[in-house]
Amino acid sequence: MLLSPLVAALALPWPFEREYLQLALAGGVIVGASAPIIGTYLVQRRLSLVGDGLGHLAFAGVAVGIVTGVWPIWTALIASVVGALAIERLRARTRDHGDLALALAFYLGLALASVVLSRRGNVAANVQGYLFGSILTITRGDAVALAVASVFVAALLAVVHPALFSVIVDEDAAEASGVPVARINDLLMVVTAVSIVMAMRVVGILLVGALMVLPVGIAQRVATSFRSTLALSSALGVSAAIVGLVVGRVARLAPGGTIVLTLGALFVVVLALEGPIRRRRERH
Amino acid sequence: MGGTCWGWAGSAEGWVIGHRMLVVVETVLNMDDVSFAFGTDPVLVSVSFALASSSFVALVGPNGAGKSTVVRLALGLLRPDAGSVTLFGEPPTSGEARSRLGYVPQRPFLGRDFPATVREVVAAGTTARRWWRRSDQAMVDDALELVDIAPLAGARIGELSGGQQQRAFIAKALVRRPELLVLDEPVAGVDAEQQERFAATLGRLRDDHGIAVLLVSHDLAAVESRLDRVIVLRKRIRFDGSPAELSAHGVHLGTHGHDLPRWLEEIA
Repeated sequence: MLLSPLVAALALPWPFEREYLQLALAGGVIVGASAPIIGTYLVQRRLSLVGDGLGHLAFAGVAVGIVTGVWPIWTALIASVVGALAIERLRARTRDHGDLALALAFYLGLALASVVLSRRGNVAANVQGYLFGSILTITRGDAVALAVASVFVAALLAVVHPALFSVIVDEDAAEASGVPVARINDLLMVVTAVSIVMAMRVVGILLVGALMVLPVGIAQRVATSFRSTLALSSALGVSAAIVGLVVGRVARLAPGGTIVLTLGALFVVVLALEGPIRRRRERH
Repeated sequence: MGGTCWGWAGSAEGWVIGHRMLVVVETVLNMDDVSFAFGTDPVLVSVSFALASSSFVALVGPNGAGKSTVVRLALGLLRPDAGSVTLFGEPPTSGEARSRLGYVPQRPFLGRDFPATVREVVAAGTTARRWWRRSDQAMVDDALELVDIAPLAGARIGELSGGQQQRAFIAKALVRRPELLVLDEPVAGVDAEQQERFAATLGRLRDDHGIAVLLVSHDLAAVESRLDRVIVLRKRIRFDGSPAELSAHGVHLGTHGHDLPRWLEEIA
């Protein structure tokens, strides 16, 4: 409980003068920084859509939580971690049909959620926060949980990085030199599942994948090394979270969607500038 | 490498005594009566061969001949249905054996957008059983020097030409100073000049560093003059001998034409 009184006590200027806005800022910065780091590994493994697949499974978990009265974050976490390991197994077995495993997660997640929620009458209002995010309702407890989870994710990735990177570059060579490839792949999926549930609070299940993948799509067009791609995508995630919150407040727009639209707009700009950037780099 | 040279591990196979040099020829890779099938479809049928240290050997065969299966068995990624495979006298899955082998893949699956420098990719080759360790940058520098791409260390891997990328992957395989280098069809899509450079690099690895090279390839024109031995595979071993012995069969590897692919298709 270190962070929460600190955040609440800050006397920040507009537009973050209120406590709930400061908590939103904390949540946005934490998730904006950590989601693209995992995304950098996922995109290079050609798993750009895995975040969405796990998001849909997490939604089934949320549904179970709402109906049973358990904190939906726990049930979402269980659903996405179990789903992550199942997807990885299926992907490893049907190597060429990895997207099929993801499709299965998408549909099973949604179908399961709709069936479970139908046991309960009108839950639309409840559900909407999870689907599109509810960054403005982040509590002190949420902010602390997000901080702890992000430290855990960052520490784990820092330790696993050499192995993960060698698997990304050449899976066969990594296995032949003794890297436990299957366990490393499992680990990436579990870390992804955890970070999906974290990001769910900020941008919602339907946009979780965007926060993981879009900053990477931008960063890898500009950065030269893997290390700088990690740093840049993370910085972009943080910037988009701040811009999204400010613009959302000024224009009275949904902050989750605004964060993702900010990234989308930046992506388009970078794509348009890509030719000149590349030509300039090749001249040097 | 001058004076007395000793290599003494695994199963020593014989002695070659030169003027001033006493060399123990070690068997680096041994396949003994190996058979392998995918389901009921036999891929390899009683394949036996041994690879000596400091030798440059090509493994050729038509598509579907089982070449990649031989490589995967040697790397310990597959287990034989029958027979035995040993690397430096040990099972290919042992950590000790693995640390002495370097592998260059068929075609690296890195797109043009892959955001990593040549140095980062080569450093990935240091990751092994103790995967949490950071890479040793001095070893990375040595490997980059060895294949002549040190000036490209900071470049993005996707911006390299096919031949340069290939050398980066050889550097990655060499970074842990292996005694056996296995290359799985690495020349595809590389121009003639780069192929010659590639062949010279492999020859130098054998001559100056005593590395055994097993090259799986269709296209041997560039390496012919440097090869010690050619193994022709089509489920079974169809030929095992020197390039000169192969040309006695009327088959030429070199620039004389494309008789090798034709011959490979003809042998039943």
